[in-house]
Amino acid sequence: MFKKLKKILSLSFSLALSQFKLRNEGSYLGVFWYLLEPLSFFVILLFLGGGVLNNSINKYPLYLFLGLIIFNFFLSVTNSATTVIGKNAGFLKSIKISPEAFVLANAFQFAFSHIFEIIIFIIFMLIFKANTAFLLFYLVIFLFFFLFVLGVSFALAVFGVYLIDLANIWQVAGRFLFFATPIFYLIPKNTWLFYLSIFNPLYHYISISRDIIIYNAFPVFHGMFLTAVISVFIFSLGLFIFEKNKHKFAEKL
Amino acid sequence: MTDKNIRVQAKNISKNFSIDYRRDEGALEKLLKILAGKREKRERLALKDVSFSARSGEVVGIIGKNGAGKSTLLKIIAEIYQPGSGEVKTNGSLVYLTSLGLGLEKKLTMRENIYLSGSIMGLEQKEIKQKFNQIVEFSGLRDFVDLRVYQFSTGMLARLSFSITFFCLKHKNPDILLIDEVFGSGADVEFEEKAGKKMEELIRGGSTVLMASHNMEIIKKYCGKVLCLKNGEILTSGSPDKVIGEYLKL
Repeated sequence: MFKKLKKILSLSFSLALSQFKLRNEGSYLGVFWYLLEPLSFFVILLFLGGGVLNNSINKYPLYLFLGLIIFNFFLSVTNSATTVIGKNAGFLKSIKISPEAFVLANAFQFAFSHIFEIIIFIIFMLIFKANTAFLLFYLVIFLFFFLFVLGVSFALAVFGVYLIDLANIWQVAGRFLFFATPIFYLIPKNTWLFYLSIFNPLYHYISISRDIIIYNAFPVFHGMFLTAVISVFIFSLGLFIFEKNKHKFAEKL
Repeated sequence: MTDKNIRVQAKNISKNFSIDYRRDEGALEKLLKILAGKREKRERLALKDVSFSARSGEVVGIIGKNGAGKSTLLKIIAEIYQPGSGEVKTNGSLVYLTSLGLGLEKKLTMRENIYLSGSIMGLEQKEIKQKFNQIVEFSGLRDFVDLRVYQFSTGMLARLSFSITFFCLKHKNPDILLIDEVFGSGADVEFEEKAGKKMEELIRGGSTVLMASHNMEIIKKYCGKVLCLKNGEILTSGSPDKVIGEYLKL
């Protein structure tokens, strides 16, 4: 069991590494292109939030950028997960291979890019003279966030085998989710949006990260604990759906 | 089953593929279909009641026309497909080989490709490291190790694919080897000869081998027993000469 897990992890790591290389191949600016999207979005929203909406969020640029990159990680991984099994049909049909590795590799690949986003975030923190020590807590938050993203990915990977247009549907859903999650605004307490956000897991990962890393304040313990439990639950549920269906992939593709 | 020498045992395997299943169906179509109510399932028979066994070290050939069910049978034994009914028992490690050069990425270098293909074939990084020099040496492409593969000629690619596949297989040393129409390398005469010898080494190396092929000479050369499939059923089985004779009369 442990040996098998190690094997799957090592396979997904080498798959992710070569995919990452391929994506950034051809120009050393490859990573820059990946970062351009969140950065340009950041500039637009910074202008919108600061200039037009005139909001009063403390350390708004940090608040905005951290929210953006966490959301961006979720969206990139899950969007790509909807088609990951289909893209690897060639392998699944011709070799006995653990299909989990493809879903994992997909998430790892974006985790590599996320590291670069975090580096930019650190630069911003230095510019705004924020305390970078609390960034260490992000390792723990990200671990649980990663589990959550994996769980969603596993489920989407299965549905993507049966529904060819899931990628389109998920992209639209992602747009809604982007505006429903407080990335560039602050949710007024005791409004309907506030109560809705309680059921949005992304809201919790983002707000816990912001509270700790930017504002150096720890949210109430039971809130964090519940988020951790939800992460593990979603991960297990996604993996369960995947394990139940993975035997049929080779025939359905 | 008490006989310890039996490596592969297939009992009454049947397999149907749904005709109505469409790969390119969207969510809306699926929904409409569900709303339209149940329709009778139409299926195509791929295998019907196939039983056979293979002992340790035995080389079994599987022949039959296109669409007779050869690949489906091998894929079920390899656990890539699930049998519709019946059961397959295998005893020992198993490798299914259907194409050379699986997972080659043209934009990566030969070195990177060896590591990537190796890990797809189930080797660990340090195991590939051990085999690396042998693979490069055998392929005769030492001077091109750090070249990107898209600059390779077709023949060079064939050399690389064969070398990677062969040495990874050899390293895994499976008890059961399923070969689906993979024999030559497709490279030049010199390499083809080398590859042929290695292939022979692999087949006669003591593993139980099941090979599907249209090449009757190869079947005659290696196999002790041959199954002939027709429309998913075993038409005949037995000695190569007898079964091939009947197959050619079909």
